[in-house]
Amino acid sequence: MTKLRLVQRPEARVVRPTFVDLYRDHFDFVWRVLARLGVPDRDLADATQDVFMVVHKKLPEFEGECRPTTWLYGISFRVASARRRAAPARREVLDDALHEPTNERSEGLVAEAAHYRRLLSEALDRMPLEQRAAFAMFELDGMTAADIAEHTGVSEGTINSRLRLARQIFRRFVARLSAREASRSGSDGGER
Amino acid sequence: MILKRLADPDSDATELERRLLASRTDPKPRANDRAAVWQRLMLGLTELPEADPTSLPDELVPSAPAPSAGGMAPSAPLAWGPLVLSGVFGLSVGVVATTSFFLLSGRESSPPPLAPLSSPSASALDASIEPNGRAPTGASVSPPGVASEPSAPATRGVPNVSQEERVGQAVRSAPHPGGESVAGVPSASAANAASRLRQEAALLRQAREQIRRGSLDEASNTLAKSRSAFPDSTLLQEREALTIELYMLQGRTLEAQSLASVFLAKYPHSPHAAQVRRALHTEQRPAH
Repeated sequence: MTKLRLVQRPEARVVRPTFVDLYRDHFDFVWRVLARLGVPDRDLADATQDVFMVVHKKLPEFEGECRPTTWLYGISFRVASARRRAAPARREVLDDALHEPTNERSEGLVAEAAHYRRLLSEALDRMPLEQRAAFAMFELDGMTAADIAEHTGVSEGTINSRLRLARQIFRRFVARLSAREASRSGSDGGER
Repeated sequence: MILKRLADPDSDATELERRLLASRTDPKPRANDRAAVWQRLMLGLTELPEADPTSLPDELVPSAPAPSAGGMAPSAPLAWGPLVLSGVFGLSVGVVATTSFFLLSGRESSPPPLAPLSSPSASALDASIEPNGRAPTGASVSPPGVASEPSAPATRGVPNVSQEERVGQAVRSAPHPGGESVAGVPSASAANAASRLRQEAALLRQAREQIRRGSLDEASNTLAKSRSAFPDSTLLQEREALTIELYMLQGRTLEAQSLASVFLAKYPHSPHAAQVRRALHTEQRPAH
């Protein structure tokens, strides 16, 4: 017969990371999330600073109920979201950009890659931020839906749904782009 | 349900969709961004509790001698360990040696309220984290003193005719050797094709030598100079191959791969194709 013994467990205690721990371990993570959420390169340092200022203020309220990265993701998301709302509408500019030809004969490969990167950025800009985050993590960073769910603190089903919607936006954008390029090729007499 | 990625080889993605996805970059902070943001945070986080230097990571503890005010002192490369999203991000961190670092002590203590910054966004930031979703406008914290690193200029200039043709034309018309100027940017009207070719070749030789030496920033500048001076490059393929090699060494792997895939698709029989394939297997080298 097994005797049950009461084992005194160490008192459950929230091990709260320090500000310095979070900065040291997750600076790159925050930077990357902000970039994927569409914060322009030139603003990444400012936005990262914003995130860590909020982290500093809110750290006493963090009870370890989720992974630090999930918590940091939430803050980064809100900072990126605020910046996106504050940014002037760019749609008209983006629509114009679609008309710009990629003259593959007269531009270098670096410029060509930059052109596609800009188009990718424009496609991502058309997505609601939650969908953009899911799409970027899945399609660009190669994360699984389960990992994304853990990082963002929502269910995997929700992530899958966001991915499907984001993909529709991406594909519609590329289809529109293809149609314009085809139309331009036609008007050029098929020289290219 | 497991979704298939669009970039998977057996997905139904179109060529253009694949190109867009392949053009992605890997967003990493530059070597001094971590220290620069830290310094700016320190300017904003005043009235901190008692100093506890032992709670600071070694990398951020000031060390003598202190650099000039506002400057980023280059330090020995430091590995920051694995991060969650994708792999290991090894970074070289410039240590900011200001005594204000000693003021920070976050361990087991409640942070004080944020002191107002020189910019007005600290209070606006509070709004950004409220559940009602109100957004501050202009939530940008921009203390002075952090200069942004110049980025490589956009590149233009693929010739309309093949590289071999242009090299051939230029070499055939080159009357004499000598008179090479590496640093000078030739005027299109004054320089004939042969001298331009020599100057362009010299720039590329210089970039190649800088890459071999590990002077990656210098190589980057030289290649940028080449793009700007020779938009209608005669030695385009060589320049692109060097750019791919440089990107790999700088750790800009995704950009290098993206360029390389376009390069190999366009010039599968290029004499530089092997170099490009080799470059893709090059390990990152710390910048000197």
